[in-house]
Amino acid sequence: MQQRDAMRILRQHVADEDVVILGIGSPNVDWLALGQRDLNFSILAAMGLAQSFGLGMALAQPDRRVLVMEGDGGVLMSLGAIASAAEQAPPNLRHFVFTNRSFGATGNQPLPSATHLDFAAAARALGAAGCYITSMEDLEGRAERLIRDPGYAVVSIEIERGVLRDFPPDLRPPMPIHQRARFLRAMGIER
Amino acid sequence: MIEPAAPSDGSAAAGPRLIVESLQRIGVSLAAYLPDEWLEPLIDEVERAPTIRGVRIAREDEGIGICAGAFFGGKRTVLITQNSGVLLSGNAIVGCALLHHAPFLMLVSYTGSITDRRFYQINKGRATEPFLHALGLRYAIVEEPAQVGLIEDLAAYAYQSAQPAVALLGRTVLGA
Repeated sequence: MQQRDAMRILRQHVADEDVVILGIGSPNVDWLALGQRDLNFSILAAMGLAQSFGLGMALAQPDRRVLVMEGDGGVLMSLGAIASAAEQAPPNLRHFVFTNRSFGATGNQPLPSATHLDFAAAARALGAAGCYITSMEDLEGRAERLIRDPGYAVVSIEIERGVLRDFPPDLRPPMPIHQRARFLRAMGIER
Repeated sequence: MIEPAAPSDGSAAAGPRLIVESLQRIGVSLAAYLPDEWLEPLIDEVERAPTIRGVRIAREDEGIGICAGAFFGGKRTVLITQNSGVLLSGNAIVGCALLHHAPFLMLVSYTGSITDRRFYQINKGRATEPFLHALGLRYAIVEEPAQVGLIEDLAAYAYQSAQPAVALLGRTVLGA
């Protein structure tokens, strides 16, 4: 399964008011290629931080669904953050881990222990609900419930290694300032 | 049930209690923290504060992400950590909090400061202020309970400048 195809399936079940947090690298590129949303937030430089950003967002906005889309390299780098999120267990937070077992943005070098990594099992070991999806059919059948059923969950989706595409035009500088203003306005937050 | 600490009349809990009262005036509603010997009285006081949600973390840079995310969710937050956590969080600070212009407070125990006297903390203490300068973060050193008002000045600075601000807290004010 290609990451973009998996994201297309998930995208069908994302409501306008849902917040989507994107981890660095290809999750940004592939999700934004499916269309801009004011409540997308792109993490651009801090690897492994998307899930913690999502936890803060989910705790601050308990009535809004928060979906984190992050590569497995970043998640591996910050694995302990799953324990922190699991203790808080915000029912509005979902963590999608796109699992290609490689550092995609730098040339697909393998992650340490690449072939053995099991993020669903790791999530369970850290106190969270975890599940692992390996086929388009399985994802199509479960995507709606994975997004809409309440409860903090880590969802590892096995994808093929890809080629990092150029950032789309709306991701070029000075994008962080524009994103900040757009996102806060869409959230109805005065700053 | 945890009994309240001793009254705030110069006892060890005076500093932590004043700090939490400052956080409440600032409007902080979420605190992410990792324990430290000096920070225990402050973390205990935060956990007793009904208006502040405590979030225990496994590594300090998680707290940078949590505080930045909660800012974009409309909340004021604080990260409570030893200065070791600031040193660890350099990339998260520049790559997340500063890049995305997310303000919050960092309350930091200043181990290795000149009054610490523990030989194994010396290098940590010596690196801390140059590191904050290198990141471009403003900070104030708060040693005594009488200086706790600086925390509200730092919060004002953080939200006016749209970046984190740091209070380096000495052992006396922390009541440790």
